[in-house]
Amino acid sequence: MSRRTTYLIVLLLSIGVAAACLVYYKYNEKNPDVADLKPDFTLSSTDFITSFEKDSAGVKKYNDKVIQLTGKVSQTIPGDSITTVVIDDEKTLNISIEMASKNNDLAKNLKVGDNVTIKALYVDYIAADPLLASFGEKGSIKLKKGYIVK
Amino acid sequence: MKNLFLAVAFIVSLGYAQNETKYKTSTGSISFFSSTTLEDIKANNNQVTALLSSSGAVAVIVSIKSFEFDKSLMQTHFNENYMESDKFPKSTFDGKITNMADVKLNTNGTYSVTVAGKLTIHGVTKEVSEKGTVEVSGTNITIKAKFKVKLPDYNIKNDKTNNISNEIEVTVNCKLAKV
Repeated sequence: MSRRTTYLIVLLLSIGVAAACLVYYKYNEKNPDVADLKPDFTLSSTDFITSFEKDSAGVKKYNDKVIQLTGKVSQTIPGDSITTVVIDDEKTLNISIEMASKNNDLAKNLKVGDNVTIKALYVDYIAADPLLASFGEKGSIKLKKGYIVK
Repeated sequence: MKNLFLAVAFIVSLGYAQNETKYKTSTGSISFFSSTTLEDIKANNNQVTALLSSSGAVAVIVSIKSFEFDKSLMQTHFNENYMESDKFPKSTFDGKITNMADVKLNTNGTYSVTVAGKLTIHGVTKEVSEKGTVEVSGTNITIKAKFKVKLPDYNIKNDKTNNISNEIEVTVNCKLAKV
């Protein structure tokens, strides 16, 4: 076997191993931690809710984006490992943020009326409709993987 | 006389509706599980809105993007290739507990129920009927159910049947509080 052929085999094997490593890494890659991501939008809870009330179709700009919100806590719903924080602003919609499990201890200690800044991933918008209203439920803007910024 | 009868019937039904007890949550859980010889796939959603009235009416609203997978790539494929969550962002169930007379909402216990209604997934609505339980504990009610969903029934394309089963097991666990 010539030296050139040997180099070629080693090169091809190296490329193959590198490609296999890349595929393995991409396949097993975990979801990113919102704590490590910069916010795409930073705004008050009032402005965030108003943007949905004004233009529910235009809010697609928030899809899969990290939102940093400042507002007053109206409710905390503690779960086994995840707490949900609701920011209300007495509007027709509320903001429901499922906190990251890593941030659960801090989130559990939030109290109604606390001013809080939370960074989270936008999920969806459930418009207020007669069915929800008949159960006393408002429309809701849902975010997940929330972290308390301050 | 006929009008008087209708007016009385309306007032009675209004009073009945107002006396209905209602329960709700916006932090219910739904998970699904797919098992093939190659791999098991599981995802959880803890942002489910579920509503129940004492007459047995049930409504469930699920944001598809709230499903969390262990692996980022699976979550991307789920949203983009299978559920097309930008096009069909929600799944809903609108139905009724058909044997609500067996459920004593003021007596703690676990009651077997049958829930029937319209299940909408991926923009396709089907009439379904599934078994489940209603657990009463004080003013809280927990709805639990486990059922199978066949992907072709809801026009969900599955080109990788070796990796993803065409029949997905769905587990519902929603703890509702009295409104």
